[in-house]
Amino acid sequence: MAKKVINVVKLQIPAGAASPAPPVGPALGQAGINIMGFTKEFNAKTQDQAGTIIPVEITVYEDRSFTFITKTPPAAILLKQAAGIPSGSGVPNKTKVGSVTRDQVREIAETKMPDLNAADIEAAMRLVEGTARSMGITVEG
Amino acid sequence: MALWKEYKIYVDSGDVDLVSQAFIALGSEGVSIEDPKDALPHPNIDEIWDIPLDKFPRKDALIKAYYPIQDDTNNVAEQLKCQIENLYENQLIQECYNFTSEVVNDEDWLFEWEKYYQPIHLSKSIQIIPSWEKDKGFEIQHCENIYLNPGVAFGTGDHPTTQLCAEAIEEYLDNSAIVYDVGTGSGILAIISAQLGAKSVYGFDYDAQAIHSAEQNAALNPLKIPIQFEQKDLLENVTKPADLIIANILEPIILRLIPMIPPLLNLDGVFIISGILNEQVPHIKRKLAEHQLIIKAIKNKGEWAAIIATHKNKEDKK
Repeated sequence: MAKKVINVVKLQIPAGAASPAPPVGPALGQAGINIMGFTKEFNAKTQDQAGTIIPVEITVYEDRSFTFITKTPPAAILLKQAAGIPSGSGVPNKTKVGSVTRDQVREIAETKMPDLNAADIEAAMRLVEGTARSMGITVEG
Repeated sequence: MALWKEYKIYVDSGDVDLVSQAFIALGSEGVSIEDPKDALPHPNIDEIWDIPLDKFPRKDALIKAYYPIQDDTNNVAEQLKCQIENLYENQLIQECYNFTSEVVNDEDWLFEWEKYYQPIHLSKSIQIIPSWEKDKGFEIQHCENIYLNPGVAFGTGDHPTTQLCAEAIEEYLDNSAIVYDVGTGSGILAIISAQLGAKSVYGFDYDAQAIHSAEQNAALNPLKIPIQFEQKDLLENVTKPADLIIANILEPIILRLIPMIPPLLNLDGVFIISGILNEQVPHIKRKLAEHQLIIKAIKNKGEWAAIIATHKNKEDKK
């Protein structure tokens, strides 16, 4: 039977640690989704990525049932992890807060490939490098 | 009731990730994104796309982020303005976007969701009724009608794992049983055990908020026996064995719990495990075997499973 989609809710939230607090509560409450049902399923499916913020897209059907898919973490988050820094620079063109190697950029580009609009890995690497510059992270090598 | 500062910003779809990152770096536990592009049909043939257009912003994507009002000492607004300006000056986003903010309280969304919460016939002899629907004619005779105020702890009755556990309790609980509910959440499984005739029931959770919620839910019901709720990590410092141990939590926590079970489960005792996905069952099964526990039965609902386990060598020990 064809299911009718009535809404899509998009979030970026901590893997394995979603709670009914904002932004989950307001977004799901407004959409009439069972907040606790979602957080339980999301946490179960993302335990192995705990400590990372990941995008999730929830599709809501007519009977208020839902499914969701998780995507790869934003490049900015992966860069912070790779550089071992808590946050990016507020003034990225003046203050550099860390550095990553070209190998790390390649690794991040490979992780992000399924969700990027990049023709090949080189193009994906250029996108990741752009994000790194925006955060005050230099690419070495 | 808790107060939050909600920040809203409209940005081009291509700028969503970098602006979201600016919010998260300032301490928001994530963001929500309403992007009009998402209202366009996806190429899934088994779905009819019928999203009302007024659900989404007309042109740009809307990002929302939240900060507890008492944590706004580091002046999020000023830092955010600075970060947006920097992203724009470095030509990384298309515009120097403006944002707005307002104070919201958590009752707004908790109430919003309550509209969709209805009485649930959980198993043969258990019905869960939202506390605000009490005495409105939903009660069923010859059934345990359990009242619950779904708050910020897991266990509303609406989740397949709660239903699987309720069915297992119904099947394996006997009247002289001592019951431990590990990771009690809303207290729903502890309350069910008490109402189905357990001799004594203990609910454990490491989260103080869950214990508070469980106590409140227990107080909503005319309990047949009092339930003792305690804040603790799994079964730490518990020495007295039980006849029924229930754990509706998550796989990594269950793997940590299993080694604690053998000395705390009576010889004829039953261990009910849920909160696990069907594909996680073999992993749990191996861990149980390592600790001389065997599977009596497995129940499934959709992609979720419940395992009922017991001592492997109970006959030898007798």
